[in-house]
Amino acid sequence: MVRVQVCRRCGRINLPFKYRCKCGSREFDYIEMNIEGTLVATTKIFITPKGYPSPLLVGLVDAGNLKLLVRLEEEAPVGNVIEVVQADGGVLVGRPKKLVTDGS
Amino acid sequence: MVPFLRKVAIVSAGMTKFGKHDGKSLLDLMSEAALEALSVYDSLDIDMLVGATMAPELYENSVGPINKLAGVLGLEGKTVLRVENTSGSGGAGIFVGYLAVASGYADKVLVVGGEKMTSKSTEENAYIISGLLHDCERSLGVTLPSYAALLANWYFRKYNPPKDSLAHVAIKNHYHGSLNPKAHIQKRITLEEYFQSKIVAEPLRVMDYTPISDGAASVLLMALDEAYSYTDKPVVISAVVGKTDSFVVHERDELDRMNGVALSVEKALSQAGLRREDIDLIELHDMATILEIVELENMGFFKRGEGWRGAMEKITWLDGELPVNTSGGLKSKGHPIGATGVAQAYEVFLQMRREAGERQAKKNVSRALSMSMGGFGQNAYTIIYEAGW
Repeated sequence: MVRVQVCRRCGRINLPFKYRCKCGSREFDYIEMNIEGTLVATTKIFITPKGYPSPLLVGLVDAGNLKLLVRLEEEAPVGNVIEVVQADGGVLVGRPKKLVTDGS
Repeated sequence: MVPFLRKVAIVSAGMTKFGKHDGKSLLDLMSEAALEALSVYDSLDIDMLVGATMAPELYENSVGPINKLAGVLGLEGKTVLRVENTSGSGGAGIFVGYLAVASGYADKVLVVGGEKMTSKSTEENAYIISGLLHDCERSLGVTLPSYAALLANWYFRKYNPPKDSLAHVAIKNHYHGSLNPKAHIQKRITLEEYFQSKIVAEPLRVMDYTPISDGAASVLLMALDEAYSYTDKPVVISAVVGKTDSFVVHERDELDRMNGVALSVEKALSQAGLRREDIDLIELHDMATILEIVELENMGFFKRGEGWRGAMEKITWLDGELPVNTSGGLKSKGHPIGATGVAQAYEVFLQMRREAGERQAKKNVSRALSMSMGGFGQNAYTIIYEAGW
């Protein structure tokens, strides 16, 4: 589950949260959501900032009404379904679900 | 041209060599660049100093850097301020100087950009620069280079360009940089050397990224009417436009959409009353090779998915139809953060006046465009230049 912000006026889902939505509204609801999406881009980072393990896997997940950059728990090909969860400190972690064939 | 504004021109420009300057502080480097622009007119009395730098607080534990610069340059009774827009600080600095002259507030404005970075290790630089990201991105361990890698991963999958298309951007910019005596890395590279360099973040290698550099650059701006008293060849600034994109990169419609870049170029061209075909030369923000390709597409000079043709088909080389980054770009010239946008203007100034030496573009350059941007296109500034003679 991931805690997200939903704009009361335009319905946009914001993560990270904003004080003012792109539509100008300042009225929001906060809900817990199951987020599952498709991995649309990924990289394995070898030169990481101080304090982070190397290599580090990250990916961009497209969940339709929301896109999120996540740290991947394990290597997965683009096109794979990813479940996004929030770890300690709010860090977004992507768990590759069933492996699908890389479309390319 | 916006009707209520005065015309503004660059009358002189300066730049330190970019590279590792042991023993020189940011203040030393910015002073050196400032004096080069001012030296043409010994006792010139300027009205205003705009300084662009990102993080001397972190690099040198120094605050108020531009007040210090005004002090060592003997500027008292003047208007002095600092402008900051991370990697796009220089472009934003020129924006402020341009508006000051255009509005009539000041007649002569010196804009200086600089950064002193090499006193910190690569690891410390990664830490400092990651500070410009949103906490939700930074906490993942992501840096700007990793965003470039994600973009390259996306771009190759979506458009399937030739496998060596990024290498050709690096080879071109290193070739240009090898002819620029002020470039950080004045060395040509081969396809083999590119593919032998280490992976930083898949699929990008060391040879895809800009080095960490020290350096500074400057331009002296005046109202065009007055500029003719100082030079026969003033370079007119026809437009400067800044535009933002979403701050958090994952909020963008698609990874290769850089709306801030696209909007700033579109509006700058329209303010200048020019079309893309009118532009003879471009300096852009190739913090990584993939960005040169994607920026050219977002600027509208190539169709989406075809920006790689620029370097591979020699269009963007020095003697091509549309030379891009004749200075060597960030890739080879270096990227002392606050200096970059101003150094782009320095390059355009030389190219238009045909003073660029060995790296002089073959074609006549009468109209040019430069674009520098904060972060990963979060805040882009486009400048349009026209020969004033």
